[in-house]
Amino acid sequence: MSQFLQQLLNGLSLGSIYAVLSLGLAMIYGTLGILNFAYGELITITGYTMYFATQAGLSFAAAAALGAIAAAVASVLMQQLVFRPLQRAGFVTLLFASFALSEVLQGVFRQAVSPRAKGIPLPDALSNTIVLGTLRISTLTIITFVVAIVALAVFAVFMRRSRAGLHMRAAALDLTTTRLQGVSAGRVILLAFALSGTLAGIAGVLWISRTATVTPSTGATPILVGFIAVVLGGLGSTVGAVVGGFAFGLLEVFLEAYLPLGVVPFQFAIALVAISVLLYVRPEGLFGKAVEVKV
Amino acid sequence: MSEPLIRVAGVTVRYGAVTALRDVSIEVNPGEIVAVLGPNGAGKSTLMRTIAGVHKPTAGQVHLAGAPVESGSPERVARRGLRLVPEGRQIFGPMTVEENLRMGSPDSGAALHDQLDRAYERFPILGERRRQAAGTLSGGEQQMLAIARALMAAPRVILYDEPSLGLAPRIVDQIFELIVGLRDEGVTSVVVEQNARRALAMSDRAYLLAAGSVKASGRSAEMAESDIAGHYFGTQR
Repeated sequence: MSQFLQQLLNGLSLGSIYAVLSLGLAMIYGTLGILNFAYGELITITGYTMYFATQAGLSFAAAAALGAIAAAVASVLMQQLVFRPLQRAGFVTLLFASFALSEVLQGVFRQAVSPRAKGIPLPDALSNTIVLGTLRISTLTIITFVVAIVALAVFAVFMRRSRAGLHMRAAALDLTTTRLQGVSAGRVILLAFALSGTLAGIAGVLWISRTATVTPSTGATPILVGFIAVVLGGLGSTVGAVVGGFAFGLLEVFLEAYLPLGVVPFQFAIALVAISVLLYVRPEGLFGKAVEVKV
Repeated sequence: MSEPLIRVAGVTVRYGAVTALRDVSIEVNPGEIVAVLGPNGAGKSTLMRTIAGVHKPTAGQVHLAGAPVESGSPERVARRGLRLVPEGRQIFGPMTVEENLRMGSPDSGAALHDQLDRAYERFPILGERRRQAAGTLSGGEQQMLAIARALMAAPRVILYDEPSLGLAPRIVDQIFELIVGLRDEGVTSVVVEQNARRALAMSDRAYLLAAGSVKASGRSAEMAESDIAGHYFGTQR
């Protein structure tokens, strides 16, 4: 029982990072129909910002804040420089543009920084362990979970209560009708990228705090996980993306804990097979809406 | 005669190889109700969406209150006092009635609350259902919500695209009475309608569109229903 509780806490902590990560990805898909595969590079940018900031002597907290800001700025720049000129392009064109952007950025990181991993010194406080009966919980696990939950709650309140949040929710439902109400499409889209980048930045700080290193391809795993969580939750559903993120985090941790040792290397493949079976039964994902197709 | 509030001059709209509107010219004067009639596929909705700035004309120009309409920027046109009540209502179904109304308002704070109070006074049923998801309203209530949303911005002109579509005759009567009532409050209306008899009865002037071109126009009271019927059934060119 205690092992189950231990893994549950670990799964919730990892799932909370995935939830924040997926929410940012789902937001852009919901508003613009873009699956931005360069989203993973925002995590890498957060990592390199944290690396250079700590090298410059800044505290970890200051480096983390700068990292999140850098991701938000980079996300806005992506929109302005790449996606805005392609605003009339179709889904596949935008998908390939995001692939291209991802490759370009990874190339820039390799050339301008280094192809090798760069270490980011973590504060000692993050490696402490709290013992509660038979449970051993690292402070990083607790901090990760708390920061992610606060970020998700602030996002939910912003979307529910603010005028800008109302406009963004409407734009995700029907952009043309939203514009017909006098709401500027440009402002909504810019805000969506800024918020998505901020979420990527927060997820990036939490991700880097677990790995303590950054490489040019740091964003590869997060984008894959984010994509899986968004599809699992239901494309276009922000609630689904959050639930999908938590579900995938829990699945990953429990498979690692309970699979026989020889099978653990196949943990990711088994998770993907399980999700494929679920999507076969429910193609729209956990919270997506079934689409009627007229023939 | 004052300057037209809306002037559409020689507008052609193409979607790829398909010409939806061909050299269309119409004028709408302040305080008028103008009906745009025509069979399915005549280009009526395209005309409304072109006036509202959604579509860019291939040729010709649209003017609102003497200044060119910013084609491709419906938000700018909306801010200049023109609102479109689209075909099929296009309310935001998962959002509440009140959130839909807030979407229509350019204001916040006390001004927004005054606008909401006025909307609920005019449409008491919307006040009773303000916390309800808009998608759960009946067709008639959804149409009222779409009109109330348009009125939140106190527009100079409202374009209605098929406001009676799929509604019971009793509800259609209420909607048409409302449009006539709004003229008395100074709101100009352009109404796209399939029900020619009803539209002619409530409007001041009418245009008949068929195959993307204006086939006839004039004072509603003087337009012969038999001519219009000929265009609906394709017996007249």
